[in-house]
Amino acid sequence: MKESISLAKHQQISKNFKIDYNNIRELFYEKVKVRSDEIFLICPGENVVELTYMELKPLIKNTYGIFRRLELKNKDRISLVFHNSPEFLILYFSALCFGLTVVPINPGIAPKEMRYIINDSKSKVIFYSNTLESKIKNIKNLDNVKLKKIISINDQEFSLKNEESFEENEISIHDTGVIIYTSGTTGNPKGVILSHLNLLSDSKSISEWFHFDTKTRTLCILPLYHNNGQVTTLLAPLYQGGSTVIVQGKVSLLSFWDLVNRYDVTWTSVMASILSMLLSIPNERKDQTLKAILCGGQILTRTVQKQFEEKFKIPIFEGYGLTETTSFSCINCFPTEKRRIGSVGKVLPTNEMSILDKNSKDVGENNVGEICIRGYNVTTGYLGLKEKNENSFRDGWFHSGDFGWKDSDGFFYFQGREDFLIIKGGENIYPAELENVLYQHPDIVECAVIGIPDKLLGEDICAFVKCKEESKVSEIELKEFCKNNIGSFKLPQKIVIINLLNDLDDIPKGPTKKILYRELKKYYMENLSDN
Amino acid sequence: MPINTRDLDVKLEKTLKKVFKIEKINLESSMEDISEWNSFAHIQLIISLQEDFKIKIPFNDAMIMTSIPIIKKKIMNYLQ
Repeated sequence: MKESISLAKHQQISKNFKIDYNNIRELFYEKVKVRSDEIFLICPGENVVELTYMELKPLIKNTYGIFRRLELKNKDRISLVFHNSPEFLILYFSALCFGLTVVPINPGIAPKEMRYIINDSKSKVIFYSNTLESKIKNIKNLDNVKLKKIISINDQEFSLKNEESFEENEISIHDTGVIIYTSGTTGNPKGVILSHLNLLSDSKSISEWFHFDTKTRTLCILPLYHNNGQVTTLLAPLYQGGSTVIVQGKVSLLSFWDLVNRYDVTWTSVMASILSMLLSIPNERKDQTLKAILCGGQILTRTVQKQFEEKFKIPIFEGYGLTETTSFSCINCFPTEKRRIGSVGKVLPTNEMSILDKNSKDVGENNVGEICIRGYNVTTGYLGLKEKNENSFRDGWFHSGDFGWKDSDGFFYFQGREDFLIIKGGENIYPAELENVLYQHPDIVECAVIGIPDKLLGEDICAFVKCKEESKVSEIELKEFCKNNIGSFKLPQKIVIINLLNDLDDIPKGPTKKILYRELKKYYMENLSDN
Repeated sequence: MPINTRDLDVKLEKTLKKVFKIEKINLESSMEDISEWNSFAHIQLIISLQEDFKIKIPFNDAMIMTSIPIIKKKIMNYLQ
């Protein structure tokens, strides 16, 4: 790190960890110099797009011209609504190199949710894929979207023709690179601010942990609007001058082994649910290149890990991290024989981790407490959420809200969360998000949302609703109502109308009228579960 | 064996309803419009299309079959 640094307390570490660049642009330009004619990005599809390091650079410079025509300035924010695609990649790197902040938005969320993120992030321009026209049309019609411009990638302004040259903006290592929105306890998503320092430090750590080099080729099957895809399978190989194959995960699972084989993929990063899905389809492994798979974001069961490793002969390295730690903060040890199965591994060189009690005191080895992290990869905070920031970043640590323990050899173990976050196929969903939607239905008096076990997704969603006595609303009608108001991946698998149950009169509540989610889950498991 | 557009629509609609477990479907829809079209449903859809139409879908095509019009176009091509 060339620039002198002033870090927040929860970003300071006592060990030495050197970052070689001041920003993503420096990293990319350096790789253009040394890896110019080597492939950096491959986007398979009907027309395969392959870009060398050198070929990407003029596309980035051209996009600067678009930004200038849109009167975007250094540190302005733009929203990108894309599935994994060449267009996303060009805009992403162009924005980071120009000095803009990227706010990637999941195209699967409802227009209302998009509107919230666009407004909260104060994005000046929203770029979107022309395949999402129908969804964006709904955003354009929403009253209070304070946007400067909404640009389809088909617009003339986005043509990548004439390279323009002008002075580059200054970018500090502390400047915000991306703001990633993650599920919030109150129902509204919260923007996690990630600086160039965060992105560089985590991608360097991961790439060195697994000995990435110029021959490393990752398969990016996780969405680039989340941190794992961006850092683990895009920026980490970039840090070492490797390459990456970018696909849209939702439609690529059936092609997984063909893609690995066709493009000589050496590494990938997935959610546990992807491993379950790959086990459930008859396709066989054909390649001889894939060295290992990194897995995080969801609990990986021993059974799935064992079955997958036995069937496909590929080691899985489980890790732990959050959007707030850019990506991973600990990963199981590499190479394979150093792993400790069941553990999420040891601390990365860029951060420190500790298990603390409520008073931020270390609980010692083998005792359960809150997983707390500090380091260069830890966010400075949530966008505009003072109270949440004071609560989460205190006593020199980021308090994750996750619980676990550490053994005497320094391996960490994840146990669970204190709150009721549902992790469905790797997507975080707080009950309040769906409850807020259900409460908008005129027939619903009360509701509570819980996570229920699902063999493939890890968890799915079940909503319990209490309706007005005279109500005749059905589960199908309620599901239809939700469809119009929330992202498709947040839709409940089941909606249980309590009025129709013989053995449950009300949503269970404690003395302070707080909903007893654990009781409700127990009821579900004993009475309604198919398992 | 070539198939006419009308027969294709009828047969495809049946497959789509079976896979997505829905009763109504607009044959102009895409993955963005059908909430039941998730990653697992996509796997089931490609497998069902191969079985129902007795075709082999290459992996590159499986990744771009993200709307019903594209699926129709591709099936027409395979059956020609």
